[in-house]
Amino acid sequence: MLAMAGTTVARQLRGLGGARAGGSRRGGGLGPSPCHRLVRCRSQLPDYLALDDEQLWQQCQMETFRASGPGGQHRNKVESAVRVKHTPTDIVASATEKRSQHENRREAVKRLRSKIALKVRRKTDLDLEEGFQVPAELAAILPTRKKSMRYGQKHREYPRGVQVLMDLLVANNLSLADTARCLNLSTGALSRLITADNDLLSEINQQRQSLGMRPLRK
Amino acid sequence: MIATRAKGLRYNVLGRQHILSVLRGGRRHVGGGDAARAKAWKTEEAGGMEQNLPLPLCKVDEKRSSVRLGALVRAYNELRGAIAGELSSSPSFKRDDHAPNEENLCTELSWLFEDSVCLDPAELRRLLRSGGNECRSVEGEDEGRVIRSRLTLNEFQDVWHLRLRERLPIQYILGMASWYDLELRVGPGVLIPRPETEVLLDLALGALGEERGLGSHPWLDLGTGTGALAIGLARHSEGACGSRVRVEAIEASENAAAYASENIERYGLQDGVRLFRGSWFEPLEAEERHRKAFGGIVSNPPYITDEEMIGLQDEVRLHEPRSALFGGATRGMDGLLHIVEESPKYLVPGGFLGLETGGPIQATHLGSLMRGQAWDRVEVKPDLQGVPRFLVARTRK
Repeated sequence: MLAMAGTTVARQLRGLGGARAGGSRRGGGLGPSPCHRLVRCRSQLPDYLALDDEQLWQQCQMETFRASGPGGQHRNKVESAVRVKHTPTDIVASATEKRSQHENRREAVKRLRSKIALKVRRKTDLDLEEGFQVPAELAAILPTRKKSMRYGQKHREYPRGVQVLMDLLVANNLSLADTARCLNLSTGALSRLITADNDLLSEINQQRQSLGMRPLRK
Repeated sequence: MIATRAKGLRYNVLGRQHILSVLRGGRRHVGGGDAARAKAWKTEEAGGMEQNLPLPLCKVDEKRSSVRLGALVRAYNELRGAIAGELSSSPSFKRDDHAPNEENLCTELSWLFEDSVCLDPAELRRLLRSGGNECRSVEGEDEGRVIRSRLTLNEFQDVWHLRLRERLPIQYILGMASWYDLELRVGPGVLIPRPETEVLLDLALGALGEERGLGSHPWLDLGTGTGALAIGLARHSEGACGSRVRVEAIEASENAAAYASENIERYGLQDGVRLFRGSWFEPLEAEERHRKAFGGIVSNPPYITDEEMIGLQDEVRLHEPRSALFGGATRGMDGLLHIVEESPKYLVPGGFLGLETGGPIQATHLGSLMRGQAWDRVEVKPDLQGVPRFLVARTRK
């Protein structure tokens, strides 16, 4: 059910940024390099991932899974599951595996960040004349950086990099080769970055399949 | 595959005594264990073990027994499969409207296994996840893999018997309760901290963040129980207001105070939280220097009314301390009224008061009472289920 909600949102959001030039062309990978194209969005979405947890939390509605009886001292309670809905985007995330509500809440917000990164698209300017400027958030997760300096999947800022990467991929019609070229990476290196992250991989593959493209393999 | 026995399970007669002795007798001190949980006990090793509190299950010697993984998973499935039958056949569950449901008990059973079995919790969860009531057998090499467990297979049954038949709260069995980001020692004689109360800590931290000056005065937790609010305040105040707040925690029950003291020590807060024995403000009354000295007061006093006491869930009614639950003859508000009345004497001007109440009736009543008195910004705040539960206010400046 959660996944369904997420998909709907993603569709709406993609709709918002609907000027994606390659949208009508099925088959992918043909035609001039998309890096030459300027991709515009009609509306600029705010940078939710730049918010700290508290600010992000304030944009959320929280639902706990079960409300019964008077609660408090009246009941011995082990339900600690938490579900949050990010009101501006309708993206929902939940956590059930921790034993306290506070910990589940923290986990849910962490998941919300990852989902926002995967589902919320923003405009990306691709203009090869000047060369693509890799934003710092993205540079921080790329293999061009020394491993000790790079943000891994567990890092708090990792989703911000993923979000920019997704923006760029979508601007490049999900072509790995074109995206890698913008980033000055080999296609293999970009592919390794993507396949190391299951959620990112499956989001990209879903989108690639909807464009009739071959899924990426691990 | 194991067929679930039709009605209940066979238990060892000496179960209870035996289990309690396992948990009490455990001076056999343990290292390692589950890494995530072990982290919080660092301070305990420094000497907190001297008190005679029951040992939490996860601190019992992990070498007590070895079990084969296949047998362990079968035992889990058997106990899990029997839950539904127990719920529908046991009179204690049938007459109790607030009894835990099957899902709750499954969660609790998995906690019992997580705390007992020496496997990474995520791996264990994967092994035990059986999809409904179907038995899932472990195959191949895994079947015979020997793993360490703090309880033997029989003891799992004994302990689960205490849970289902005697309705002993799971937190007392584990000797631990998870609350906010804390793992707190609990046991018979101390109230198990409730998830609702996590919101009270957030409200208090919010007030500190809003008015950082309040953090330069000590704070007060009345009826601290496990020490949850006091420890939470001391640990998180720095993040909220930039300085570590000193907390005075007051507890009337000797038994509860022993747990509070243990928990304070485990989190290394002996300097940050001072524990006093006494009823509400009693330990502070004698000294003039405590007057108008506190930046904030928080409390989760007993608030259950006379009529509600009989209808409480068995876990609460039969096992948790009455003194932490029953709020007295004034519609359960003896403690709450006393605190509301006395707090202004102890708070600095603009000082914060945050109280947990039994729900909308008490919260609204106290709120309207306070609006006519020495208080500003009196608000009733909801808990995470949306029940109006907390009362927050500031003293007039």
